[in-house]
Amino acid sequence: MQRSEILAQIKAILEDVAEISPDEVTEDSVLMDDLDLSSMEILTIVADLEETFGIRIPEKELRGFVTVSDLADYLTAQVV
Amino acid sequence: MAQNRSSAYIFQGVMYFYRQEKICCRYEITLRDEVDLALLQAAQDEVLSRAEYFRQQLVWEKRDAYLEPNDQPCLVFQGSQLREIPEETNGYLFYFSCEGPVIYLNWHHFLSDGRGMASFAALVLEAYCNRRYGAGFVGMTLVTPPPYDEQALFDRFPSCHAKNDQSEQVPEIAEGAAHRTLVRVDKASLVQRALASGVKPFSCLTALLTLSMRQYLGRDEIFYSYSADTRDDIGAPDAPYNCVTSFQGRAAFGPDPRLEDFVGALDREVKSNLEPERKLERMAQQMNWIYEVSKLKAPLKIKQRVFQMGEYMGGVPSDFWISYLGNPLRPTSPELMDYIEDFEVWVPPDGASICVEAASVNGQIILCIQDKTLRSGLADVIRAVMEQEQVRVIQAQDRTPAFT
Repeated sequence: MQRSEILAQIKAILEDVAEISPDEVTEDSVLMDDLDLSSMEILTIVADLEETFGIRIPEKELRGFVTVSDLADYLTAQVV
Repeated sequence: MAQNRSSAYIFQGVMYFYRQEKICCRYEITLRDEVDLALLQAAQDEVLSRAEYFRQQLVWEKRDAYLEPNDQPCLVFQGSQLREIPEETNGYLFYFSCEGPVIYLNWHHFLSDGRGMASFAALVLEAYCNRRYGAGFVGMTLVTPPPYDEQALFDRFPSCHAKNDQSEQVPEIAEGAAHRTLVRVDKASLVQRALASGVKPFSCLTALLTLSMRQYLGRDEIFYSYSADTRDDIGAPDAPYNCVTSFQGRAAFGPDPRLEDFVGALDREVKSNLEPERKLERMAQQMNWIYEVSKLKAPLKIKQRVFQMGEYMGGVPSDFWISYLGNPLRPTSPELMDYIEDFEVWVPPDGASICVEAASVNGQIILCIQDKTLRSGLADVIRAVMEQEQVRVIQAQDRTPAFT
């Protein structure tokens, strides 16, 4: 899957979970500070991404997801 | 019938539906003689007629759950094999069974924690002993207090709303097929050892287990957690529902550590955490997280995953946890112990690589341990560590398979 498709999916889930317009989201957006996401919202987004891509993200990876780009990088490496 | 629906007690146990594994627990109570199935059934039915809280079934809909009265027969089974709750139990969230001299009480953790279930178990045992031995126990009614007010708890401790800071260091949890270890410790020698160090016996036991895990896991840093009952603190001393909180601790060791090196610090931490206000604050933090998960507009599967990740991020996972039940039957009626030969409590390991359930019965501390690390020899390690610290081990035995 292309990185652009993964980014689009992340933006769609951000809109669904936190009502953030895709236009407001860039790869550099910091999940907590720029997008004002709570811990609960971030975990819900991760759980939704797992369902969407059919993968399981190990808990130890969670701390590394600071920006949208971090999520996209991880998923790009995992999703064939 | 809709008018019988109630969600009043759902919140107290709902965390156990957010755990990915079904958390069912088991008491194994050994009596003097072979158990009479028909008498046990009659004893259970008698007590159940006076214990409305346990006469319920859970109805789970897509995003909602409620309890309603259960008028189906509540069956007692012959044999020790595990049965699915509630699929094989007429909707009840517990069941009794028996084999030889042993009575098994199995229950879904949603319904109650160990302390709450013990009150019910004690009444059924008394009713059984009345019928079997003419014991003369007075049958009591289990009155269930209203559920505690979670919103009042959250309001009292505003810090419970703080975000998980995601900064806690937590260990990897082993997820191998669990096997069991049973250890019986002479209670008097444990108490004596604790007194010698000026610490609580619970602190001494936890420290001994921490030393054992250091050796067993081959690590110089061990994360542990322990649970604490909050019934008295929240004003519901007789609550049958879940009323508990938990704390995490960490011990770092140098070469050849001994109990005296760190049991004092561990004891100070335990005593501080077991202050009523501290327990309630911690309970507010943990239950607030569950409350937030329960409010999510998401399928149960997503809630389960969010809950699991949240526990990890909040620093809940440990190398081992210990839950100390004390004597589960004695507070109700000391005389009941005249009929009890042995007692074990088994709970699936959840949130840690190794779980330790501890009960105090007949002068023994009985440790029922489940271990997912796929290592071997835990019984020998615990025996060696305890004996090095002058605590007498009556029995230490690795068992398989696990109770899960």
